[in-house]
Amino acid sequence: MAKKIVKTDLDFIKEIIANGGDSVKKCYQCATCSVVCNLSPNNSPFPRKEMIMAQWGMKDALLKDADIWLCHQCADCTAYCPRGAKPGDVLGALRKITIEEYAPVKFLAKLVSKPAMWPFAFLLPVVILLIDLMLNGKLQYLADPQALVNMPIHGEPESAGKIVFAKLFPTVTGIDIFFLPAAIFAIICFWIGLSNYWKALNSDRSYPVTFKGSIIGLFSGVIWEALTSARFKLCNTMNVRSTTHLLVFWSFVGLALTTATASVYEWVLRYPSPYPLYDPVKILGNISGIALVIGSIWMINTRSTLKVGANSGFDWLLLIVVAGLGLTGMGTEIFRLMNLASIAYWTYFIHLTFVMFLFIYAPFFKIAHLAYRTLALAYSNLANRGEPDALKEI
Amino acid sequence: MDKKIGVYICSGCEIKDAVDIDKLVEIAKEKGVSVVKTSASVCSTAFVDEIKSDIASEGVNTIVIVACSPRVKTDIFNFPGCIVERVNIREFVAWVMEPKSEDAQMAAQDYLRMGIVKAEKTNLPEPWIGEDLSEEILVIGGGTSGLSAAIESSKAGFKVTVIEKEDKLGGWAAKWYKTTPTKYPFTSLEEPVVFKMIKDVEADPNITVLLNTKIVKTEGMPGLFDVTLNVAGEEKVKRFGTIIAAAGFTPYDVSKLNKLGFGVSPDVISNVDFEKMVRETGKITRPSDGKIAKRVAFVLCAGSRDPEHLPYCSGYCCAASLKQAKYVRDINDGVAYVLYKDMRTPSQFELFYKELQNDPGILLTKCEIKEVSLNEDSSLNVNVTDTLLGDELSIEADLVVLVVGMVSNANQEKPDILNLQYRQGLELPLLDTGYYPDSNYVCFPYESRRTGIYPCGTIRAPMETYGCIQDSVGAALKAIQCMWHYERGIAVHPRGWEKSYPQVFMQRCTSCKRCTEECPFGAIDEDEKGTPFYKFNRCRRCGTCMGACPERIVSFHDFSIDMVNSMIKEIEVPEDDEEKLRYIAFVCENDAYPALDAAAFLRHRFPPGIRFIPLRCAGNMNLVWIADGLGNGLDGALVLGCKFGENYQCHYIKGSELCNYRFGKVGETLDRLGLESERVEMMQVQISDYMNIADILKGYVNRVKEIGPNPFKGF
Repeated sequence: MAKKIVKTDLDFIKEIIANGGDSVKKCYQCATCSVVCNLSPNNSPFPRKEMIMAQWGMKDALLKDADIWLCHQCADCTAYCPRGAKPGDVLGALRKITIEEYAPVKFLAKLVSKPAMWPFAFLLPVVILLIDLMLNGKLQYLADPQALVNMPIHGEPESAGKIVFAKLFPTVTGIDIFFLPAAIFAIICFWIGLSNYWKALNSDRSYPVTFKGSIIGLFSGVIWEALTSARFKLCNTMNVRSTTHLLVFWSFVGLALTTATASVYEWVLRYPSPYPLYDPVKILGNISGIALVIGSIWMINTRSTLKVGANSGFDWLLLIVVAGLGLTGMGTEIFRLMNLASIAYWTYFIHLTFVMFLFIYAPFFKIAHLAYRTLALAYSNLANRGEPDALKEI
Repeated sequence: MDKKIGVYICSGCEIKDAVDIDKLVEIAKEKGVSVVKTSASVCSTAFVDEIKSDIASEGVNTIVIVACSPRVKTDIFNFPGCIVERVNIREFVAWVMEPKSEDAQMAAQDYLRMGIVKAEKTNLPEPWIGEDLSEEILVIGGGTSGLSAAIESSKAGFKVTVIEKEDKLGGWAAKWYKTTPTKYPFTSLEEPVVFKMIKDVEADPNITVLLNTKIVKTEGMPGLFDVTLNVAGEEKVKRFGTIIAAAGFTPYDVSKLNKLGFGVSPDVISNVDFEKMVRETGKITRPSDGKIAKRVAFVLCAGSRDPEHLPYCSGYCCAASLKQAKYVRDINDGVAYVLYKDMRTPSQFELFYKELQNDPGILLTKCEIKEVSLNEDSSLNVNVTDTLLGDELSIEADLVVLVVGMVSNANQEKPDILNLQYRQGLELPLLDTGYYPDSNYVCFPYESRRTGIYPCGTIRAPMETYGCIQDSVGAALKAIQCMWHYERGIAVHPRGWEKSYPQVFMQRCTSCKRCTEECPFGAIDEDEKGTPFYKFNRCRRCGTCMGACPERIVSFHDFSIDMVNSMIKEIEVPEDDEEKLRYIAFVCENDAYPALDAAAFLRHRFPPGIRFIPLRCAGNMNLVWIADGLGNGLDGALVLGCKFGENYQCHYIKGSELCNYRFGKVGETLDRLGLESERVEMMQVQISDYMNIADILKGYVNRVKEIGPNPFKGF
């Protein structure tokens, strides 16, 4: 084993404490956490070593520790910790710090980091959408959505009298021109953050990395795990979370498919929305939307009632965004069908705010775990330390 | 005194189912006892009242209770002014033998006759009370323990003299900057409590303080300790009743710890020097260049739990190091690394540990120190291994503090504390571990092996302030108890009810010095001619002298060589019965006897041929009993002593071991008689052996049966 030079960073310890790991100093290193964890590998198990490094402020070592992503925060360790040190929460805090540390635009990361800043964080997508409306000359309709109903769109007279959302946000100039750059911005930020993280992971040669098979094989294994929640299911204390996570995860997949197919309708088939309820895209979208609402509300309920496990703002922000997306998405459709024009358009505006929020901040808040965890799991597989015994038995 | 014996036989507790009570009454009458009564419950109030009326109206003054073990109901069978002998036919016959068998009947009859003859030969003791007894307590040491003991004793109304070798009171605690917490919530540091104690002591009219004072010599015994003091160069003699030795500790010599980096740099210091620096300067700086030390590494267990240095744990250091880590945080806003083998913060110190653990700047890890080295920039590098990270760690520090343990001041090359004028040496002997002058901690807390001298605080065991205060309360109570006993002529310890003391028939003494050599407590001294004499308040009444004396001239009022010989003669030995062999078993009252009682309570079956005689200690076993017993036709003899050697169990330290030593010579005696030496055995029995003591007895009996009956039967 390599010799580690202790560089104690007191501010880092305080950062962990401030970010939901306030119990970190209580750990007295008994290793109960590593023993009860079903996900921890036999060799150099987590989370004990992370607890020690965190207590000692060993920032450099922790920022290139892939093991924090092997943890799915099921709180088995927290439930059994004899000292109340909540290792699960500490690892959650470390993941938060890792995402923020590798984020290329620190300003945005800071906006979502602390609950007190969230109103300002939400202000940004609102302002972008208002500018959007202004540039499209639609700003005044926000105060009077009924006026939109009466006007036709796409030069089709029969569309007059119907609620069509493109009347507020035109497909190209209102949606594509604003949302595509936001998505590209997120992808670039992810690319920079992840490539730095990958370099950092590889700079620490604690675990010899051997590459076997193909890149596709490597990532497909990790993605298959995500699609099936294979690891998450090994958790005991909050096993229910593996189900809720699966529900939300699959609804996101369904909604992504819906969006993709809708684009094909729009640009290839030249078939603009709204679509009838029996259309396959509509069916998929509605099922996914309902799953998202159920999954996110179930998650919020689980979070609020469980006695152990993280309750940090880091997690709550994602829960709020996901629930917001689902509720406003479904609300938009329902209010449209109920012909409640004002409420339907306003809900649509809020829905787009959530979507824009998700696009802009994806690399900086909890949703980024999607990318960081995938990368870290791939690294761990390469380092032959990804597979816990319990996973092999399945 | 003219004896009138009354025999009271109990038929309760299954006794009447096992033996023929009427037959026992006949036996007692045959032995010439005029008052013989039976009851279904001798211990009932009505029957005890009947005994009392016999004492008052019939003039009975020697009472033989034929019932249960003498270890029970001592409060009920308490008849002041009378000799009371207890014959144990419940535990030794009724509960352990085949009911209504011939064996059980013979055993009960033997015990009854033995009891009567013993009662006949017992005298009422007249206690020995010294003249000019002192009631003043001498406290050696003016530190936390000593002052606390003085204050406690004074509160109980006793006069105390505190002597301190230095020129001011306070000891080590007065040299600390702060002390670990002593009260809830056990989270904040405190001013050393000793300063308040100093004020209290100085204001207390019962307490005399002598500074710059040492003991030149200590003579005498409890109640009559004549102590020669050197008070600032002037010698004077003063009499004390008891002594509390609170002479404290010396920190382990840090200069022996080169392997932990001492000497690498002036910035590697001991925790004692660290404390001194903080107290004197209020700062934490590097001795080498005077710069503020921002990063301080505390190496715990420095030389402790280490076979090359101190193999034991000093207990106080973990909490004290956490305290010093807090200094680093409070004074320098620095980082403290606490490197431990195991964090030991017993009792409420756990709360203190938890509190400090939450401080982001106090970093703790379990590890072993590999090396402490000097960096080019004159900082220090502590390399540690066996951490829980699985990695070696390299820690940079400005100052390294080696946390050393406590060495009792009784465990120094020349302790120079008591200067006792005892045969066994000048100071308190160390317990078998060889580090502390404690007694057996399970049975006799606060006792030392010198009667009336009570070590307390860090001289007795390593401990912190809180522990010292508690310890001193215990020692003060012990000292007071000691005075209460010697003023009434009662043995101080552990036979704290005993008024009898060794009676010596001096005309036949040959001055062989065996008693003075063997007495574990130095209670016997010799005059110029070599004639022994007793210092009774030092004596613990174990009777080791009785066992040692080849002239058999030592006896007690209720226990003597002749008495036991007479009892053995009362055992009826069937002459022509190959099956009914008879054995005598001498059992230690402190371990073996209770083990037998417990086995009987569980109704284990004992071999019916064994007759038990209790001994104060296996050390009062005299070989003449065995020679006479086997000469009288007994088939074997057995001694059940306690465990000796390392971790001995003996109440009198060496009794069992001495008995074993004497047994080495029993072969010669038996050879002279033409008997097999295998008929005689000594065994070590612990009180916890009650589950297998019956098997131990059976094993012995089977071995003797193989040898066959004693050929001397009938001669």
